[in-house]
Amino acid sequence: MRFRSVRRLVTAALVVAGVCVATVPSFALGGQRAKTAQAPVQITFWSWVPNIQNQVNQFNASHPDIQVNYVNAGQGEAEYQKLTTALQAGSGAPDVVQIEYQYIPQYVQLKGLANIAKDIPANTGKQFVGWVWKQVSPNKKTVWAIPQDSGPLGMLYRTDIFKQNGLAVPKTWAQFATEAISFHKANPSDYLADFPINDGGALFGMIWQTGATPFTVKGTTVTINLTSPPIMKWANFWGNLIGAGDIAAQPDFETAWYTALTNGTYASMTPAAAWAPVFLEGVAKSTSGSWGAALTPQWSAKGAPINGNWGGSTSAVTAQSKDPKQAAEFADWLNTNSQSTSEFANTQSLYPTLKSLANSPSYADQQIPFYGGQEVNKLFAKASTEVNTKFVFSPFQSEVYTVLQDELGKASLGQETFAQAMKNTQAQIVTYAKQQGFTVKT
Amino acid sequence: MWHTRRRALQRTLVPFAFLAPFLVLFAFFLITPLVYALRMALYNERLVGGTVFVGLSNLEQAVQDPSFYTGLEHMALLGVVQIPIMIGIALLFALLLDARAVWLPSLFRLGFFLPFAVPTVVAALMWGDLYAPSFGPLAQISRDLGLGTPGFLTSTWMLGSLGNIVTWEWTGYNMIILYAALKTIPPEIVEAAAVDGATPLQTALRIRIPFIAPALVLTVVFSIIGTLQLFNEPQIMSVIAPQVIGTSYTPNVYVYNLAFSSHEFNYAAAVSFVLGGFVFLSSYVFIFLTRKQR
Repeated sequence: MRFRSVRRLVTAALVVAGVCVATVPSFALGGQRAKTAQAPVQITFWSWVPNIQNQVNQFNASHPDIQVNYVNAGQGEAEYQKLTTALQAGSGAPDVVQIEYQYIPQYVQLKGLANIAKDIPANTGKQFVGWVWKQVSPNKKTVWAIPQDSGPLGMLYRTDIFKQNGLAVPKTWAQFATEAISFHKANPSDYLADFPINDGGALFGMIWQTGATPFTVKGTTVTINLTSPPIMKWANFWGNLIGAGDIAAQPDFETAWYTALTNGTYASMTPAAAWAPVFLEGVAKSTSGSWGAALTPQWSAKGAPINGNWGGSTSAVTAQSKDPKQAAEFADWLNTNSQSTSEFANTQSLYPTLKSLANSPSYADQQIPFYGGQEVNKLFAKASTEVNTKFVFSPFQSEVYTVLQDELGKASLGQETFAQAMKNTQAQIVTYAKQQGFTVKT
Repeated sequence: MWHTRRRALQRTLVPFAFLAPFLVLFAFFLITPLVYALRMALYNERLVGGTVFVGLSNLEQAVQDPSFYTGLEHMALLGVVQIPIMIGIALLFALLLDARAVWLPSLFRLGFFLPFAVPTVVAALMWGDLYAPSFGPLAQISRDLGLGTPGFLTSTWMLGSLGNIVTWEWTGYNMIILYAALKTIPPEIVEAAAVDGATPLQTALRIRIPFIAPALVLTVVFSIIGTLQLFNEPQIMSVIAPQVIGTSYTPNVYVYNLAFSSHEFNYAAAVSFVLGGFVFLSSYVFIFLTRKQR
């Protein structure tokens, strides 16, 4: 009798333990059953664009054989962490994922993206602005993503403050510096602009605008040159202004920064990008009508203007996708369908990458009251044509950002010069690239 | 003979069968990740050339990594100053509550404990706004008093500002542990002391505190572990003061950046193990030192 009860107890305990384990595989079975014959192909899609569910619904309604399931996996960094982890783990990545231009080479290097050149119509590339397409398709045989929006650089400034202080819209950076100094002298608690030391994307947009090519990539050989004359000129330029206290060096997209843009502490948003006009309209509602947009100041008064880009995203198909054809079809539709893209531009405030849309009168000719009726979209369409096409991102861009932000952060506190910060960044990135197995040229 | 042997075997097996639900989860969520991380630390996965076995070289590099030690130094400095302050306040509050020296003790107990119920991320965000130099209320009050803008988020004061957040969050928690320990003191001992003419202060110093020494050691060990693993607060602060926090302000911030910005998962695993070693070592040293004194 006693023997029996003990055995029963052991059995009971094992059953309890077993239940914990058994629940796991039973979930897994449920997932497989959904994928039987003739049911629509299931595509998972990660994006952080607001209200993108609208476009997904339109696609699902017009494509009964494909069912796209939208997931907001977080904005920027938050999404990339999940993506990187899923790629590292070998499963869990979505079929289609939102990726910014700056991280495409990196995820290609991590073998995370699928080449969709054969899965999209041949004329797709021709519909997009040239430099944008080059970012996603370095050659004809490979297409890593479909462009969604972009952010050619420009400058947004307070027309009223400029008028009060007798400032003209700077055409060159030299003029910008003179005005920054005189403005700060006249208004000791205000600045002409903020240099966003925490924002690798913005910093690299500015480096892009110098005309420099910090990276060239050929297979597994990378050339790294973060200390070339145009970049050093850029670093010293901002370093001098920040060192003298004439320009702020505070993180962007942060409460204090929003406040400063709204209350006139910053008389301009420089750098700004093509998505910034609508963004600023939401942030600084109370200042409506007293803003203007301008092209980026130039490093040289002569010659063709050079511009850079800050931000903008693409839709990429991951290497883990089991249905890359359908995934590519969705990515292509999302970013070339006229209804989808016009909604992106007009209601979701993404700056268009389709040539037809960026130049269409209904978009380019919009007179925006927040900017005193200025045709801001037309200005940025021009800014987009001036973007330096030779610039490419490195295949380890998040490391570049981390190191650059760290070094410029120290420089902004006066712990080292901006020139030294660039030299240190160069040295650390070269070491990193070598450790990662690249052949490095400088 | 056979029967008794079988019985003995059952005796040893039964407890394990009951422990099984715990052991299964323990194996899944602690042992497996640890073994996985250790295995990761022994390899190097590179962007070009794939994964290679590198033996202990990652661990060797981690032990000599100056960025890791910068973080560790920050945390050592924070721990040496902040832990005594926090445990001291917690002890004082616990003694006051236990001695019924405050009105409405349950209200005070709840009040002291409440910050612990606030998630650390929320607490860090909230303090970040309080510290903010341009619009923060503390800065505004200070300016109104003509004292200028306090530099809570500057490199000089950041560690103190973080210590303040941690103290605010954890004092109540430690107080509850100490208070519970104080409750276990037999009342006759305290009464005997009172009869012998001991003042409340003498009772506290000679009877209550020595009695709860093991609980004090426990709270300090928890605090040492927590300090060395500090992550949420500096990570949130790095958004508003990136130039001060940087990428290696605390060891865990460093590990996080190694894994998610540098994609050096293997090296991050190695640094985690070295950090784990330091956590174990400092806890052990503290327990050893306090044991010797008694």
